[in-house]
Amino acid sequence: MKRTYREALREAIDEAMQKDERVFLMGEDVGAYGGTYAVSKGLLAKYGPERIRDTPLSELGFTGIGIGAALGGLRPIVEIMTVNFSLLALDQIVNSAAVLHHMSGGQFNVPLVIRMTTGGGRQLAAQHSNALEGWYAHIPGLKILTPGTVEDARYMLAQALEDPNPVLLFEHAMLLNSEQDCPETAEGFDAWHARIRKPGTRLSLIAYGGMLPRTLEAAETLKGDGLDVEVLDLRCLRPLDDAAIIASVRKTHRALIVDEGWKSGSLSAEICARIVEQAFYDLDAPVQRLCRREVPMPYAKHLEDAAIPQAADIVAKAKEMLR
Amino acid sequence: MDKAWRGFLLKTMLRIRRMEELCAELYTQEKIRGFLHLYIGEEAVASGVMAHVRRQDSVIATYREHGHALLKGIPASAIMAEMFGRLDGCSRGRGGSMHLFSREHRFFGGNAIVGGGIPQAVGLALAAKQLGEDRLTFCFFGEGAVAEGVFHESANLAALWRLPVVFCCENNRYAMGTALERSESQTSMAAKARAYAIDALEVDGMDGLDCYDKSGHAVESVRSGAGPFFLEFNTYRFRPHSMFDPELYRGKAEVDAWKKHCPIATLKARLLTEGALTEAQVAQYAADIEQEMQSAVAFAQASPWEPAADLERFVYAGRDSGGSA
Amino acid sequence: MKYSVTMPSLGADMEHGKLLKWYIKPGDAIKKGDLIALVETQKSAVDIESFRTGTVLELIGEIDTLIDVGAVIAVMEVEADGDAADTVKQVPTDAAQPAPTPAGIQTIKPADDAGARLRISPAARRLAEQSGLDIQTLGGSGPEGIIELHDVQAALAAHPMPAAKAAPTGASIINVREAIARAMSRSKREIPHYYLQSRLHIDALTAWLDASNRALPPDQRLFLPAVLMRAAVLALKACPDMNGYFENGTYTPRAEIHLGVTVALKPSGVMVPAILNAHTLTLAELNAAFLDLIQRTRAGKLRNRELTDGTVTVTNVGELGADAVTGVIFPPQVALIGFGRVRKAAIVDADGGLRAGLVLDASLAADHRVSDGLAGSKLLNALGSLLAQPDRLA
Repeated sequence: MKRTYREALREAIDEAMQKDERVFLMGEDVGAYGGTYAVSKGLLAKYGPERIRDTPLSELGFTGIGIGAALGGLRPIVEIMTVNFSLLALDQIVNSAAVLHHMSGGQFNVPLVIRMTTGGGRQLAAQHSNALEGWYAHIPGLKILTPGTVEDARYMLAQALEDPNPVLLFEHAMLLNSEQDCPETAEGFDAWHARIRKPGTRLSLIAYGGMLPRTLEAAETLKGDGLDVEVLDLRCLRPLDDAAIIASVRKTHRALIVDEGWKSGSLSAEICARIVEQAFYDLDAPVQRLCRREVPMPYAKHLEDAAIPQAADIVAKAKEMLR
Repeated sequence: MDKAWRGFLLKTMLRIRRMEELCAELYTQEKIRGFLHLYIGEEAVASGVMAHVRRQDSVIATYREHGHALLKGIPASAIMAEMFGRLDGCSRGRGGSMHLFSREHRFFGGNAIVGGGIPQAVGLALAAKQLGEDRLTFCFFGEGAVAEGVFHESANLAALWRLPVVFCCENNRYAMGTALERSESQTSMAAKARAYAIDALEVDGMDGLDCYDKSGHAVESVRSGAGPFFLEFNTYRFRPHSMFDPELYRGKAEVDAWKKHCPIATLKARLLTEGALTEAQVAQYAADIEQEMQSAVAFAQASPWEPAADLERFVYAGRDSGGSA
Repeated sequence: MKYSVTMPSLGADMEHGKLLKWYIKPGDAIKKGDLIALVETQKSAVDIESFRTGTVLELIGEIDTLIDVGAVIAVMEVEADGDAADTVKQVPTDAAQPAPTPAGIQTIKPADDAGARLRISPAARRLAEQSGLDIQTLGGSGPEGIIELHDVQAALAAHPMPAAKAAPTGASIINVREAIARAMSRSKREIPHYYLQSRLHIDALTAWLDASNRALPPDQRLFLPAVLMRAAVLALKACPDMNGYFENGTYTPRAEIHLGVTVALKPSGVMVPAILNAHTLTLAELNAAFLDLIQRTRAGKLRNRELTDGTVTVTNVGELGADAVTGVIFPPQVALIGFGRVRKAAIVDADGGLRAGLVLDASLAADHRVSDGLAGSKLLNALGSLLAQPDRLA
């Protein structure tokens, strides 16, 4: 049955709240406003103000509170409006949530889910357009999920809540309205591994999150031109599914990584390094990357489009690699 | 408070004092490494508050937390082994002086980020309230932490949501090397708490009995469901901020003046004068404590190192063998 | 008992301190906590204290010298009381439990300093090494002349290496290579070849070709190999014993002609894809198909069927410069038609006259289980007569 990415997120939260009384949602405007992106619309009326908890603008404070609540036996879903504002909460995420288990010698764990909207493309300029999930994927102790499909938006949250570690869920702003078929059950669903969205033989297109739809679009265009490429959706950025990445490259011998982070020091660099480390002798050409241009995001549309990889860019790069 | 209880209060202070002195000595011998922040001079605060803390209550503190950890019930041997970085330490040797943890004793650290534990304390209190538990959360921090934005965010939310937190501000007048008057426009921490509609009391942090009394008042208030309470303890550390601090920011005369108010010396003198305690009892305390601490040191010295092969264990919960990226 | 006072560590990175001043002298009675000396560290001058009560016996540390942390600076007489802190000092530290040592530093192998580095992809290099192919002999068709996988595959297809090593993981790579090796070995093992040759006079053909091409736009120009292939296709239509598969002891003639073509790669190497359904194509179409096949072969973009479905093969060694070819049939095919190079030779006319003219040696290798010299001769004769009247080839 079809639903939008937004609806899927809402259903996921609703279902989680119903199944487990310990689960609650906390963040700015999640209650009375219905959610900045309307994800939690209607949930306040259903669950009340203690379980759909509006907070003041205190990212560092309420993220730390989320950690404490998780330590104290609840299952909080902290919603930080966007990844841009999560920088205010970075200390609690990196210096506490990520390290408490290791630092306490395994005594304490932090079963916390933090949801954030991420990505550019809506002309919101430099301070509202970051895509930092690759940055967060650098931190041991965190797990990072990036749903790029409606199905993932629907079923990743439940598995994130089941995980005893802090899980960061990055929801892409440009995908909220996208509508796709979604299975009615989570049977067989696994949030933690990559998936081949389109099998192919000549080139591995590796992408995740907001870049997935345009990568699939590019793959269709390439197919029409007789170029059979594979699209691998990473889905989980930490831990990275090495096995899937390497298997794909072993098959196609060529890899193009599409990553919305800024190119230097991005997750695509890490993936490239792993391919070189583990599949060097399977490569028939250098690994290539399409990433965000290294600029703060500008407001004007044509500049913003030029800064983020588009489907046409992916097609052109792929053709260049398959010449 | 009856005689025996007051004697007990003195003994807890003596335990902290002796443990901290030994740590200082062991640090100079390189048995303890990294940073070491000693509580000497401030013992009355921990002793007074912790006397009210029950097993089911939660405590979260700072990097100057050895005394709090000891009085929460973590054995001195586990604390000492942790200082030594050994496997039998309360954090498996992974935390050291600043990161003492015990799940069993509901001691949530030991935090090296100033103010880092404050929102977590509020979160623990939120969970307790939400789950309907009879559980208070005690949050220790210095007056320096009040400068951090996170204190204000946390205080606001604790009050707004009426959460069962006892905020214990240990005002020892110096945030590392910066005196309070040089860093705060409003030097009353209690005033700041009241600005968030939190009930607050100023406490003589060098007087164990005042600490005990006022803490009791705070605990009663919080247990009644009135929301958080804030205690500002006026205290002083006799030692530098940490072991490697040359104390250029304060004069010896000031330190000596405060030493005259040593909480242990004054309480001991008072109890002896009142007849609540005898010299023989004090000597017995000292002997008991010496044995406790020396065996803790021996335990630590004999404890093994965690095998380096286990480095990647416990990065993630739920998977014991190694944390893959 | 004697107690050694040592230079204390006062911080995480302190390695030594400088003794500036003693506050004590031998014979002094001191208490725990008393200050004993002034020590200069990197941060500033710090008073150090005594941790024991007792009598100073000896001062050892020298003023104004740098003393290592842990070195003895004084000796005291103290009461022996089984102090574990003493035990801590007296026991050889960490003797029984050595601190974990850091992992050994790996030696870095020196870089391979080849003179001019050969540009070859890792996958291509690996296949070449495993197949025993000398990469120095390869030319590259990748960007900037890089040797890519299909370059190696093509080279192996043309020159099957005798010492092929164990199969690498890429299934598609090894199938082609091994298939060729197996095919050629099997051919020589199983097929009783017979060989026929015929010298064709092609003055009329070349004249016709030049004239035709003058009238055609450049992108439709006909190439001689395509013309020869067209003639071969037409000739084969009447020779069912030359076009089909010999498998499991039985020959099956095929109605369709999938014409295998040997495609030379630069600077060396050969692949043998087939033009599928060549019998349905006009000369112009066959010409275009031939060119397309070459281009796709060199770009590594052949379809599987083109490599497996050939019913008969034509080899044009004339392009490589040889006068004639004695070929090896590709099983399960049963014939291989070969064309040598166009060259001037002496021709004896019907009336006995001698002249110089253009000739081309055509050859046939055929499977004697299926056909014999008569059938083979018929094919070559048909070929010759078609090429003598090129208008019929369109």
